[in-house]
Amino acid sequence: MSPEKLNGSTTVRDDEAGTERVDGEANPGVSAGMNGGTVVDRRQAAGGAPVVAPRTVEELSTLMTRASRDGRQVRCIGNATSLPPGYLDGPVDLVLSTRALDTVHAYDPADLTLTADAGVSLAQLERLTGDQGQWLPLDPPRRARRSLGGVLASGAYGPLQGKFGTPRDHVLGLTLVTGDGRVLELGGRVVKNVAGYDLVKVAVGSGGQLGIVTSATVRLHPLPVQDVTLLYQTPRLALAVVLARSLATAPVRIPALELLAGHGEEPTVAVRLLGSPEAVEESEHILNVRVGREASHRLKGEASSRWFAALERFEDNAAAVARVSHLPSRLGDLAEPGVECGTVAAHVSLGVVRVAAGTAGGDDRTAVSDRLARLRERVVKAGATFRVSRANIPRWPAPEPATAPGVLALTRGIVDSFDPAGVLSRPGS
Amino acid sequence: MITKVPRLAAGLAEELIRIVGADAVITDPARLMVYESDGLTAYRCPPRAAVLPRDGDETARVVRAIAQAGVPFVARGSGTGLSGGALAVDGAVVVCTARMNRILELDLHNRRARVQPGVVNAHLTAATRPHGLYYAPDPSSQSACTIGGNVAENSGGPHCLKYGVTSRYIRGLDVVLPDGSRVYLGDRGFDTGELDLAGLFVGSEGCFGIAVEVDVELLPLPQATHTLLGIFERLEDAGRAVTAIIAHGLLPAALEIIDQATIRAVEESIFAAGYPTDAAAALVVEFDGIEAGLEAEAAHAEAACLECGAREVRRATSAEARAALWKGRKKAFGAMGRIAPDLLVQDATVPRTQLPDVLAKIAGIGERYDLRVANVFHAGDGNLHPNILFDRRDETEMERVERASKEIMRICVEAGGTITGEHGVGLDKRDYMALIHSEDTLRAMESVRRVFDPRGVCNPGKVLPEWIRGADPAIAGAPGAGPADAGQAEVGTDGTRKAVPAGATA
Repeated sequence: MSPEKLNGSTTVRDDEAGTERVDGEANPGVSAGMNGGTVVDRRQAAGGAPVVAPRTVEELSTLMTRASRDGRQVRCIGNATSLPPGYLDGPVDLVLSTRALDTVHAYDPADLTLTADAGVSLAQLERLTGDQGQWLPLDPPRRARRSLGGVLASGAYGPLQGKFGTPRDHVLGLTLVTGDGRVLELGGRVVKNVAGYDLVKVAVGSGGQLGIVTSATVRLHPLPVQDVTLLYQTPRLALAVVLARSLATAPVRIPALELLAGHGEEPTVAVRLLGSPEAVEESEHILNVRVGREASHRLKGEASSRWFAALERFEDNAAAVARVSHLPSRLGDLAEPGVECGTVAAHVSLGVVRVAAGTAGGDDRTAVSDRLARLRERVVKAGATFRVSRANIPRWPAPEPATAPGVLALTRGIVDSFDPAGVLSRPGS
Repeated sequence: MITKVPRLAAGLAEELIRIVGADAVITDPARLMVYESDGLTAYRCPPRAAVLPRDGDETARVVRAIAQAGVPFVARGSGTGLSGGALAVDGAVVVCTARMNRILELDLHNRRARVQPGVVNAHLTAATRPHGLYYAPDPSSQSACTIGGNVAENSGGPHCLKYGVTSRYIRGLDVVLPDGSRVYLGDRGFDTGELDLAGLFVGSEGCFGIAVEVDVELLPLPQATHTLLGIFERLEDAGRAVTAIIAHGLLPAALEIIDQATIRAVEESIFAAGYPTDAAAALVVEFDGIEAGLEAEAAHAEAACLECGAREVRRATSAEARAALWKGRKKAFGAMGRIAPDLLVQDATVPRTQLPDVLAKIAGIGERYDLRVANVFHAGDGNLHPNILFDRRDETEMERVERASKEIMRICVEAGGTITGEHGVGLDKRDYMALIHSEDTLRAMESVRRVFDPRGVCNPGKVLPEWIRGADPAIAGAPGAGPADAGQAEVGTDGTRKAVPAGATA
């Protein structure tokens, strides 16, 4: 299948209403370093820095080379759906968007691989691969609106990691424009590749510290024939925790296993089963026998995928989202303080609990900060890690634990080697 | 071949003995022969010494002592590697993990284990199986290879088509860095904005340090397994069957092809598996998971094989019957060892759809150089294993082997593939790295290596071509490898001290 055909028939750009295309000099100080014709979007200007959307890797590379030479601070926002808290704070001279890098370069369904630009959204990929009975089983928060590059840079994942892993496990190779403008092709296009150090792993999930992902080759999977979600509701959180743990240690590999609680709703354990109709039915039987009851609700086919798609919006309206993690067996130690702080959605088999506190735009900002601080205190005492992954509030508690000195030294060395001028992350941050 | 290597300085030897005891420091040249090569026997080079620490603390102290003396070192597990990666070139000391073979913790509730690096891959699964769990990566050498070696090579195996390779199962690593300091990598989550250093360490071929404790993830044992063996009249048909099975939306646990040359080698050996010797190819297809779904999947795969021209499809569900179907695949390497004194195995990977074309080209190269090439490969993920059979005492054949080998690598790269899918670059393929990576990318790799190992003492001479690495400082002028010692080293044909293919000098 040729790229032309792909793009002619299926590429759908995200809504661009409000985007201003300015070919001139929006900010002479910065755009003097740009090639003419680069899309500049002033709508999203953050702290006065222009948002630039390079149309080619070469343009992007030139921008980075010059920024590095001139000692400027650059941030990359992908589709700007899920930036880490504080990412655009402080002096930022230039904000890059990958939205103009939007081509699907290769898709060979028989090889179950696809190569696309960073600005292609996961929704586009879903439509394109769905037509061929395939999918990229990656369901991070706000999935549909996110760009491929943004997801890879952030390492964001969702419930399906239980079977399919996180972005690092889906990427076969990628193109990275480093902080100083080098264009590195990392990894490859085949599903097994150990030719050299695995720089793909260190680029994926790096939060954009090393460079900007401009395109990637991902591994696809066949769409499951059957998709079933089982919802087990219990009147008490403690019972839900026991039930969730019992399911997590069942002799069945569960693609997605979530615990949801808070806001006065009945605690719910959600199980998503994927596969052949026979295997899904048998798994369901094994799980019900294990927990000694039937699920409260059983959703099939589109109803099942819709339920989990709704869960992708779990973080959308929160004033702040904290992620706490511990060994999966310690779920109970995290769920209870979580519910006291806000609404809880836990990746049960991974031991990661998301806590959505307050509502965005609500007037209880200080209260949210205080509740997060209490959550932090309680889970850290239990030996868990804590960090705030989204924040619409001015202040939030620091992550715990801090990075170990040995890890920090290696991290600094690696970041320096990709971004010697510290263009993409403030020195010392 | 006997290569002279620099002696271990007396002070360093005493220090090492103080740390691990006299029985764990080997300097006797005869005993060091054990460590002179890995599974790729074409390269041989005995180490200066071998040290066998018992735990992470001893390893850290050993590495610190060696590093302070400016001597390079190489970590080694069972020596089953197939790229010359554990070879002690440049008079390096081998730090062998054989005595670090304890499973430190089995955490059944969290489906994890903490193991020492010298634990044999199959032993981990044997220990967890009674609890309904197993360790998924299963390299063919799993009865001998170690978890530490698997981490270094990011090992795969027949079942990684469905389950993924080693990096997928490593949760964290306790690592001794090349200066002897210790750091824990990983287990912090994958979306924290922190670099995935554990992911980077896995597959670094022993160049970033030594993992002394490894936290791995275990999986629940599949409820049942169904295995099929398709017998084909033409190799291309087996390749088409693989594509047809995948196109049907099936994801088998394994998809393996054995070609005619290999079938014959197996059937002529004591491992005879009952594969018909007139068949052009045999395809092993395996499904695992929930029993209820497997019958239907196996039936689809059988139909796909027959549609693509299989003359016969055998099926098995019991452990014994499945083992019989797998036998020809699993014993392929052993059988080939019996029909030729030497074997050069490559492991280039190509996009799956390119397999038929690439296989035809490999056959052509074999004919052109008058060499016997036998193929056994992970067809599901396009990972080829062309085995060139030869006799290294025949110098002209040796030369043809090298040229054919290079050509095979080139056609795989041209088909959109890579030079190694699971064996690693090591010493063997470092000069081919430029076929697939730009100079900028190779330099970025070297820069990252220098972050872990600024002095270049940790497994020097591997992975990257020499023109990128430059001279590793430890070897250039450090005290332990200084002029007095260097004078005793054998000088290679190009004037540098290096391991050379045994066949070239024997």
